[in-house]
Amino acid sequence: MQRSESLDSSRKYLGVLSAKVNRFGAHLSAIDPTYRLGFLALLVMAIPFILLQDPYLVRIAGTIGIYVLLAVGLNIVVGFAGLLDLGYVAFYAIGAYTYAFLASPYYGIHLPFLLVLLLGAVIAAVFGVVLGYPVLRLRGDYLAIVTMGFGEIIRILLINLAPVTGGPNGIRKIDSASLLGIDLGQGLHLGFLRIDSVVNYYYLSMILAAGCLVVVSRLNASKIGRAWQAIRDDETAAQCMGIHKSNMKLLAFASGAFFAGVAGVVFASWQQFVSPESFSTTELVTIFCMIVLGGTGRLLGVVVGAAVLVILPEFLREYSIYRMAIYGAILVLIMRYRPQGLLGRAAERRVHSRQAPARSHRDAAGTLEGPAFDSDDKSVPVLKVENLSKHFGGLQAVQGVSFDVKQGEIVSIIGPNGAGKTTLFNVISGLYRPTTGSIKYAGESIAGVSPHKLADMGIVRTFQNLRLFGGMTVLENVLVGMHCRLQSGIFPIIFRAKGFIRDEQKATDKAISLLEVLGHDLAERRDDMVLTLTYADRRRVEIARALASAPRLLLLDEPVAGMTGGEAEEMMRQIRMLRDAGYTILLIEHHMNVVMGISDRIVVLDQGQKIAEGTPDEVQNDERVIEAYLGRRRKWSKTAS
Amino acid sequence: MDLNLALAQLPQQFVNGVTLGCVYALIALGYCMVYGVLEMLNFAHGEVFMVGGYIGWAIISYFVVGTVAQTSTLLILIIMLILAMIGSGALGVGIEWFAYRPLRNSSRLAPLIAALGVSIFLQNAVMLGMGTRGKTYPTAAVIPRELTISFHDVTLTGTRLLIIIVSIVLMFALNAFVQQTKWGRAMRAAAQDREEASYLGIDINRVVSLTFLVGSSLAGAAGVLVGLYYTQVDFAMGFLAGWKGFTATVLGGIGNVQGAMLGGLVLGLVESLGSAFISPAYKDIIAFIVLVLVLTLKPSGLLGESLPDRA
Amino acid sequence: MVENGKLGQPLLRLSEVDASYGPIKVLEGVSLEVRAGEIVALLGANAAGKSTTIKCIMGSVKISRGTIEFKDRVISTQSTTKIVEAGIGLVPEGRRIFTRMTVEENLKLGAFVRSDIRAIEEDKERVYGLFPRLAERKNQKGGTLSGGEQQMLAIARALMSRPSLLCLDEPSMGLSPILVETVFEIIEDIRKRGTTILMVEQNAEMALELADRAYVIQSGKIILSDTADNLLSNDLMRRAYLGV
Repeated sequence: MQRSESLDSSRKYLGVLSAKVNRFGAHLSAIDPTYRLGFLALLVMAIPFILLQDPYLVRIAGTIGIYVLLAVGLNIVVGFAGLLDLGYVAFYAIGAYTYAFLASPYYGIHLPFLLVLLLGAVIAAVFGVVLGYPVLRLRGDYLAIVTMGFGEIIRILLINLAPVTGGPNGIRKIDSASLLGIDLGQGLHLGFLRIDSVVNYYYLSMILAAGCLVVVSRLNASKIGRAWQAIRDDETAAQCMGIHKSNMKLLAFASGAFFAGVAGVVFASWQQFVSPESFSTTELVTIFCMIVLGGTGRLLGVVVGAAVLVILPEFLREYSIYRMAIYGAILVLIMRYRPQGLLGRAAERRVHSRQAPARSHRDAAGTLEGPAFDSDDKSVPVLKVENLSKHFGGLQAVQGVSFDVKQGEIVSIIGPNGAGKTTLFNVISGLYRPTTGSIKYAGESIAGVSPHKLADMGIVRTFQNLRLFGGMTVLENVLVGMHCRLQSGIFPIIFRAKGFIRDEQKATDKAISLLEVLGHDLAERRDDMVLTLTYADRRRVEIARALASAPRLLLLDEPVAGMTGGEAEEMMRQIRMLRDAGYTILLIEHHMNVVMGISDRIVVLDQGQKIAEGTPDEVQNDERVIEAYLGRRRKWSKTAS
Repeated sequence: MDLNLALAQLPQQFVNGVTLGCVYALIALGYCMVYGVLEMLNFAHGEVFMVGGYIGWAIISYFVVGTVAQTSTLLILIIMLILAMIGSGALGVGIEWFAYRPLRNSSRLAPLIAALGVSIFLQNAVMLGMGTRGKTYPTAAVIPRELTISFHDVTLTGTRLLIIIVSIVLMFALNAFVQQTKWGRAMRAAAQDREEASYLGIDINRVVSLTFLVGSSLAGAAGVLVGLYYTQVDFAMGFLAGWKGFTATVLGGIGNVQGAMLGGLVLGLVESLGSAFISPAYKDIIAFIVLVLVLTLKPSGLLGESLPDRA
Repeated sequence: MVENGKLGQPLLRLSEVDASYGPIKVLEGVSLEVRAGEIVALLGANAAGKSTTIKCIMGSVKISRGTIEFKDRVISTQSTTKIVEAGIGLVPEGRRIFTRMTVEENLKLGAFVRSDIRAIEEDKERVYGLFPRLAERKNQKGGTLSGGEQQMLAIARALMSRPSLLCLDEPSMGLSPILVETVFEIIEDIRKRGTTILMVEQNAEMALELADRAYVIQSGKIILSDTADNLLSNDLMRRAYLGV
């Protein structure tokens, strides 16, 4: 009993501590950002002098900068994209050794620092893609263990390819960094002020770390960051929203590796010595602990984690032999008792919303824009399914089904359990390839086209069992839906180009207006984490997400499943409203009232085949349909029990 | 590299490969069984192997250094194996209960990170407790050097013979357990369809504990065998061995017990022959290359499953 | 098989049961009973809550309100293992036999909760007698059986635990009409031998021809409860399934 009490009280303490930090953060964010940043920058610049240029202390402070780079980089891969890359240290090593090769007496090459900084980072990023590509399709655990192997391999190569890499003894006498003619390895004399070399490096690492934080937080607040988190939360749904899963994963790998490479170059130029020892599993575990301790997925947490795990071991030097054991224990204990890390995000709200604030507030229940596509030829059906079949090994889930969906129609697919409706939907939305038959969308064949391309072309779906992105807010979920309509590339995002800011603003406005149309204070709750909403509200958010890209064809998979009668009726009205705004809708549903009430036409499936098609009236009175649902009577003798 | 010399070594390397392969197979089985039931890769599995090796060392040292010097070899070996298996098995069950079970329903990553933490913790705990240098098995004192079979160019030392025999016995025992007994059937059922198994009254938590018990005890036995063979155990040996055991599992076809055995043997052979013909320094990379090849070319492994899982 | 209990006694009773899947309320105020020796059908449209009711009975979904009693003991707080030991067997939706294991092994697993070896052997022989096709395929892997044979194996497997109450979740799904008839004959036979039956079915007409009584569930609530004969001639059924 005592143990659980102390556990409870420490949990409470942590909770209070975290709340205090979050409140502090909220206070900070209330201050004008410019002042805030300015103050922070001044503070950082002043630290070496506060520490009286003590080389030992300043060195520790500077090392924090390097680890911030490493931790933030790893956080992109693990915390944002959800990929457990255990070979990450290899990229750190690659950056360091690149500098050692290109700026030391070892090969006699002495390239300037900034050039090698860029080269090292880029080469590391390339390796990131090289590692990422084969592991793309692997499940989480496989990915972890394969990347771990990769990390080991690099270390073995570094040790064994002695003539190339200097072997276990490493490479010495590496050039110190030289910027703008100033050699950072020497002290600086500014009039009477003498700046130690260690302070120079401190500034270098802080500037780079700050730059990294700026870049990453900007990436995070853009479609790229949202895409990463979407992939982490639900890969399938992310794909169906237009996110190119493989490219985004590769980008995550490359970005993480890039920053590791930067850290490696700085490290090599500061220490002026590299050896395989610095890039062992110990490093990896340390960096992991930093992000887990602070809270993955949250930049502030990562920075704090890095600082804590650089500073603490220095003060607890006597216990250094216990360090790794403690780190291991930390990983286990945090996962078990506080998986969101010490500074984990409060469950309900983001501390500050990173998305652009809404500029204009429309009236409640604003108008709904129609699809973004020209309805040129009304005679061509939006969707034409011909003789579609889907087999799974011996199982024939769908056989020879044909039907169309015309512009502006609401067509429902119904049928008893096991009729093949979900399989049919999955084929149309690109998750499965058809075995035979064709699917045409506005005249073009789309059989076998991947879901993210379909989303771009204007086919978007919702899911029967609700696939929202649990780690994101309501607004962010809807913004993911807009992924394929946002055009800005990486550089406009990083440099906050005008075009990018404008696009984000428009997207946010549109998302908010969509939420307003769906009512129920969704727009007000846009900064709440989506999993805090009621079930019916979550369904609405999923629909808003589907509408975000203004698709031409909406595939709704059991939109009223789990809803009460009143909620279902309201959804019916909203679906009709969508149709009136110009959307074409294909839906699966079991609630007969809903189906009969809103469909223009109904397609009935049974055992994988289409058995009837027609208006609600026709279908309700169709003998075959009645039999499919209610069964057929047989001559059956009942025995008394 | 003299080709003739290398070829002449072939039979010996073959035997070495089989010996090594047996050890890999024992480790691989643990991964395979846990993955079958929980769909999770137990990173800490290698550490369980390492602990087994240390337990074996404690026993063998006791007998050799202590007063019971005249005890029969066979008895010593049996006691070593049994105690190491029990110790490792218990450790495995404990790890599951503390670090994995509470996370069974949380995110994908949480159990993996926890497993990583367990692995690091165990490695370092053993290092702190048992020293960084590792321990030496006084194998020669226990297994007489004369116990060797030689024919042609091949020498089968007593130790190698022991490894092969013990491995075969254990694998047979495992196979019998999994195929013939009630709980073995329950394990297979739970691996195939956990929910349905529970509807038959099978307690899934118990099955999971049992799986960890059996898998970890096999790894513990492997630890003893490795200790006898290389006469050295150290706190870091779990990492590489675990990794290779994983490769063997994937090679054989994950989720497939026969596959794990086959994968272990094949990996052992490939590594032995590879290190003889290419270079010993890179033998660890061979396993990695094998893994990448399997995952890219035939991810389901050599004996990969082709039957549909659900009716 | 065994254990009839007094004829007419409620073997299984659900009282005002509520259940949720996460945020969705799936069952609301469900009350039903199955008396010893009966065949009771649970009917309703898709996603109405039929399967969830079975899952609640089996203990894999925890109920949030109400009680479930079996043989006058509360089982709603017990683990699935205990519930199976108490004498409830399940033939799950979609059969879910172990395809990688042989017919014989599947049957042995069915008797997992029992330890009376000789009686288990007898039951196995009896089951092979009931399903000769399974006897022929004793050592074949489950995955090689046809759909109908797999359904029979699923039923046979459930019988191996000598349940007093056998629950079947959509036994007719995916089967041709002839096979469905065969399966229903077998169910009737099982009842004759003393096992009480609770059957979830979509194929309402056939189920009603077989059952003594039936409940109709819609959106998690019981909306109709009557003898099978009455429901067969009731137009309310059609409306419940196909809307107004």
